[in-house]
Amino acid sequence: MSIEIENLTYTYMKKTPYEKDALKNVNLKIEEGSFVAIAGHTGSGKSTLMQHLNGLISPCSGTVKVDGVDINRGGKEKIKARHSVGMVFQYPETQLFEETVYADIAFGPKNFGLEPDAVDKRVKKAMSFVGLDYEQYRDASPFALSGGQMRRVAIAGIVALEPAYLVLDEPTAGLDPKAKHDLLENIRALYRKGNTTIIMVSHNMDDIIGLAGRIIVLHDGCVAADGMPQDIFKKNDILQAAGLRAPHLTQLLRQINEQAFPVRSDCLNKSDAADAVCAAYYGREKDAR
Amino acid sequence: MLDDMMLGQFFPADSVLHRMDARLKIMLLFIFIIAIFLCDSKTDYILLTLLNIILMTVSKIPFVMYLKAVKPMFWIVLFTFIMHIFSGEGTIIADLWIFSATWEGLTEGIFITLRLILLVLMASILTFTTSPLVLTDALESLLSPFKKIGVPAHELSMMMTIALRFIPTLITETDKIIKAQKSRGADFSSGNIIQRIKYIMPILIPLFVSAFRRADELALAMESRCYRGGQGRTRMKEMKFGRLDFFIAAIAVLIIAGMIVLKIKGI
Repeated sequence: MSIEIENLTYTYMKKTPYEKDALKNVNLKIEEGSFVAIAGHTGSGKSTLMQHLNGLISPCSGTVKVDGVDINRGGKEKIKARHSVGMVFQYPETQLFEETVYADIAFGPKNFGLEPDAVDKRVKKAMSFVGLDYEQYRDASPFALSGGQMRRVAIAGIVALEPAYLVLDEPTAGLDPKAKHDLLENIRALYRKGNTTIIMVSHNMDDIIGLAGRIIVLHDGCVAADGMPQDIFKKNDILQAAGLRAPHLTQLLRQINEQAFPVRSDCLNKSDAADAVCAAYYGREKDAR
Repeated sequence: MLDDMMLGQFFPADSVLHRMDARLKIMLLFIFIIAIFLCDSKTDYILLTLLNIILMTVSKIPFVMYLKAVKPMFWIVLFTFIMHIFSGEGTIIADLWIFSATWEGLTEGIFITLRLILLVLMASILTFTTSPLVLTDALESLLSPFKKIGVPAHELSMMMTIALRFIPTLITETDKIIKAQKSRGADFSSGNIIQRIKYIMPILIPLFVSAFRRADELALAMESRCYRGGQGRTRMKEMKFGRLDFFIAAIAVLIIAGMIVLKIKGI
């Protein structure tokens, strides 16, 4: 099972002076169970692409298939397929509206027609996933929370739908470092649990590194690069053209490589990088001796 | 859905109408509106329609845009048209139950329809060819003589500028909130009226919250840049009545004079 995008093209404000091609002939296949990052600069079409995944935007041409069902054609199947894709928008806290945290998170599951018991379970589960204490916060007003907590409530509102595919658009934008780190850990834990495919849209490679198993770089509405993080980070020229930068870790290793001694630069986490630097350093000492 | 809002949209282009002084445009629109309401004969309508078509051509904006501007009016126009057909008195064309369509009603209906469409088209020509900022500046300038009798011209135009500035922002925001709630299973397009109203709250509340937040931030931003109202404020771009404007004003005066003469002579 997978999401398949074929020859997808989308144009904003067609036939006006403001006409703009947001996506040009995009072909992608996102496998179930993978963690995919979609990276790109502002205006690269990443948000437009993501809104196609659950049919919020219909393509001008091309098809989007979720688990083999064309989500822009057909009846009940289509709605079911759309529901299997959960969508967390940028700054999702702006969509909160209920009086209590509980009611807001329960909004989605209720709309999907779940029984009260099931809704209850879902809310508890979703809140524990985003690290909010159920007893403490269920009756709190979402508008009285801090920015980071509001974001978590909003994300819990989507997680409670238990989508097979979870799409997150810049989930860490505007959060302080601690809240950011916690949220990324929550996402990692959710992915580790194993039944959610995660598609994360971001322009910040530092968020993506160590999480995503595959990175798709969008530039000017086209797929500029697609592959494993190690391979993508090597393609400096493509990243630069797309207005992106390799993660700080890769940049650091590259600097060591250029200015001190040769070291592997395709490490994806800090401890690997430290090992690589040690190995390279001691290896060099051995050679010198 | 919200992308198709053409009313009030500005289209940059290089035409005589774009270069004209906005104050003159507003005044001429005003006169044109009065003219439309004074129209009562076939010749009047033909002349005004012709003038309208000429202006639309001169504006260098595709006709499709004008069609889109009229589109939201379709049902109102159709409704008034039908009302007029059946409410006139005179030669009967056809009988439908207790209603009867008349020739007089039909002509009246056509006139009223044309009147409504001309009004929208003319207003669209103004907003299509004038950026909102210039438009409000022009309004302020036109209202400034009334400051003496206590009309807050600057404040009014500032309010309009802000309102116009935030329409696209709020539309984008609404669009995003609708999409977000749709993703959470809110269904806006089916069910009966009560069910649909229930789904308005998840849109309205976030929208209000963000509108208040924006208003607060904007007020703070304006204050921290020492905004204190219109007293003694100068402009970077002064509005000037140029040669082109005098030329157009002269043509307009001629046309208006001609129309008045026609009216008095009773043609």
